[in-house]
Amino acid sequence: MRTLGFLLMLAALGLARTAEAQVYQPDTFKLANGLEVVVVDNPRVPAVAVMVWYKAGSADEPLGKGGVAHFLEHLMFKGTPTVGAGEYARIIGREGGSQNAFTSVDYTGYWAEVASDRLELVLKLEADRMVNLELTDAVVLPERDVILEERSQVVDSRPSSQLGEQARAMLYQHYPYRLPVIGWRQEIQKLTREDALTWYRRHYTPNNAILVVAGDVDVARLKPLAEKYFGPIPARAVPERWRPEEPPARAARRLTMKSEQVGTASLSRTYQAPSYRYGDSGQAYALQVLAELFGGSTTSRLYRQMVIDQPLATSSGAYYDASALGPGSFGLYTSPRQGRTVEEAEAVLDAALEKLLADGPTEDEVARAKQRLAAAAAFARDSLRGPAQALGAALAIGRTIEDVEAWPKRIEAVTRDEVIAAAKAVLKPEASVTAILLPKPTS
Amino acid sequence: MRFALVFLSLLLPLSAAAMDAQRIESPSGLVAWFVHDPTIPVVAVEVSIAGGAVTDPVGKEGLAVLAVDLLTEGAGPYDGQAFAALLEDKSISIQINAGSDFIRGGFRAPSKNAAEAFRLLGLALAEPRFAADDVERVRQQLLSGLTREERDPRTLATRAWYAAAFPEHPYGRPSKGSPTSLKTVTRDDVVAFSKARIARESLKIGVVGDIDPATVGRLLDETFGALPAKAAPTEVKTMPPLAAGDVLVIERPVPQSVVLFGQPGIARSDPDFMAAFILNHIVGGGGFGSRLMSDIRETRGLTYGIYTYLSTPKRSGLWLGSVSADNAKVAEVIRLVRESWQRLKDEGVTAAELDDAKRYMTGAYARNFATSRGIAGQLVGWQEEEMGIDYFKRRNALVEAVTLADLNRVAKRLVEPDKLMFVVVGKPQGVTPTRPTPAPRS
Repeated sequence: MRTLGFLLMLAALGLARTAEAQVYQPDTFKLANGLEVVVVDNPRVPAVAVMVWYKAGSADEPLGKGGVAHFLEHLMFKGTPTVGAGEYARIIGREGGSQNAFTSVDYTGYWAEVASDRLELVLKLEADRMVNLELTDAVVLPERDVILEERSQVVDSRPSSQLGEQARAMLYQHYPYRLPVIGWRQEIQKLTREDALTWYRRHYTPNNAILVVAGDVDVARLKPLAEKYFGPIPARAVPERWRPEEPPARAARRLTMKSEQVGTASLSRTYQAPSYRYGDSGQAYALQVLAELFGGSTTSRLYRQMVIDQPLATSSGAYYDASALGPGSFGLYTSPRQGRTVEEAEAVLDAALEKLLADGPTEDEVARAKQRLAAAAAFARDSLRGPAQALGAALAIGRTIEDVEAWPKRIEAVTRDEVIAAAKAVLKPEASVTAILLPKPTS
Repeated sequence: MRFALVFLSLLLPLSAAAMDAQRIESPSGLVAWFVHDPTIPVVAVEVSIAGGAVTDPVGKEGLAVLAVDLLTEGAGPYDGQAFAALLEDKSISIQINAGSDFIRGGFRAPSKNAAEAFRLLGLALAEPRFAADDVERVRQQLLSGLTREERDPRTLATRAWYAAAFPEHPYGRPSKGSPTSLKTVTRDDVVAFSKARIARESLKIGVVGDIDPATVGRLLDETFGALPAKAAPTEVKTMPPLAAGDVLVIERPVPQSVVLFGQPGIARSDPDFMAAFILNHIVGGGGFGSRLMSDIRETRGLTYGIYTYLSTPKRSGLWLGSVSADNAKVAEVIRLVRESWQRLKDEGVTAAELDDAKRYMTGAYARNFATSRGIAGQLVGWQEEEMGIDYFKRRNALVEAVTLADLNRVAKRLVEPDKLMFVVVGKPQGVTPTRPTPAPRS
């Protein structure tokens, strides 16, 4: 995913005291109970972004409890003995702050943005709910209904989301990324307060968490506060983070969905790929360059060939997501113009792919793609939460700060030969799932 | 580090210090509002030009959107691909979009490439190519989007609401037009639009970043000097939305109904606007903690989210809200929204609610200025709405000055439960339409 690439690089580049970008290091320290702390000192505005990350996502869930990580994320706003249900959000709001949370396959994160003089309040609230969560059915059951409504809204009412969910279930044959983060409806309906608390007790502990604070803050100020609020929370044994391995892929998979809710046809093809933490992770950088040059912009090969040079498609592109503890994915997509078919678009896409694999990209394409990726550095500090997001996500999947900081160098070092090798290794039909979404005439 | 100091002053209890926006006048008389921020090597620019989809002739809806989308598809000596490659190679992002009342555009660029970014923005506005192939391609891309949106419940609800609220008025037509209208727009229409509309007369400019005022002044002339002085005259009347308590239903085979609801709102220039803004925050604008979110999501679990907002297009005022709920539950949600609206009118709000809202609004205001584009957008918005260059300094005092009596007076004046018009898209159970849904216009 390109955005994440940008962010990761931003974190590595850091603070510029003058108009020319200078390198800065995020500071890190660890509490005795194992809590990792990252500080990004970026005092452009007198505000801070505070993030707490837990190294537990949907891919860590036991079978049959799909969605419990996300369920708990919602329930983390339901109070402790000292903070009533729903009060967390109200307290942050009264202080002029914003807050929310998110769950992914590999982690769960909580964030708040507040004026920097309210930092202590946020740390106090986050430490409190790390250990003191209190749940009753009176608040748990309506929240489970909220999640079912969320599923209705973001998946069940959108054919493209439904097809995406089905395609993931085919792309990963064994790895738990095949399951939706939000969970399948029938399992969400059965999640209980006890399921949520079991998950909470198993994963929510300082030695399984990362605190990242970015903005108008430095270690000297943060460290005593982190010690004061998180220090007293005892570490607890956390189960080893075991994940299965994917079996070899042997057959290209295809699925087609027709819906009255679809207006224009589209095709999406996804290949299982290495990530920063899985498979041949050395290829992760070449694959970012490959995605950029093949389909990362309106001057990329795919867009030119399919949208500009001939009246065939209205969109076409490529993307790659390296940021995962498990297998990554490399994707291609296109949508035909009115009067043209998915079959025609796919034939041209396949021809572009064949040519790429046969001849490789040009040196110029590789150089321009690398330059474009690296140039995002200029905007490194034009955001409060961005660097915290990038560093937290990296540490939560077991990457290191050094690894994140090396991103620009590693992109710079990518050669044309490496791009060709990575393309050949990843863009194999048998490792792919092609998902086609078609309009269905209204009856 | 003036910026940091400025924000600090804001986040602390009211202080006299404030963001130092300056007025820059170019040698030829073009004006920009400017904030010097040397803390990061970035320059951002936002511009606004009066006139957008409201000026589309009847039957040619979508013209403004098509023409403006084409501005960045080739200009001056560059075809579309060459233009895009220049932007990419210099890490410049330019966006220009047609809204209903304004064309808004701008860029973000590394400061070392700021002059080039100004030049390319100027070319896009003054010398777009409108190559026939590109016109056709962008039309096809818009058509593809329209075809998608015609099946999207949220878009359907929005279009139906506006069509019902603004019959005979341009606000009742979709900005992007319809497949039929978009197909009638010719390249000549597009060329004529850009010549007639994109002029210096109504141009508002905001500039932020690591660049000095003298350079900005010079670049303003180089960038915008070639534009015609005057735009063609337009006449669009002011009109409140017609909302008379109707319930419209558009049947679609989806498990969840999407609802758009609303009533007449308030003009941005109305002296009661700030009180209305706070009122909206309390009832449904504040996300978690708002009355509707609390009643309908947190307590009852009936929805994933419910939000309300004041919309202040140049020639109207609307108070709108949106919510989605499973088909079996949506009738109850509508009932609860009506009840909440009635309670607001009858009982007003509490001192504690007002205090919480003020604390949020005054504390959060600074975060509108956390990105360069965000700041530039604020500078232009203040010009469009004639707020004054010192608005930043005054704004939190305006919030603080609103009293509970003001709020409850405005609640009586503004809140009209009987006028709330609901458009429901889905297969709602127990919801009876009060009249047929008007056909989409254009």
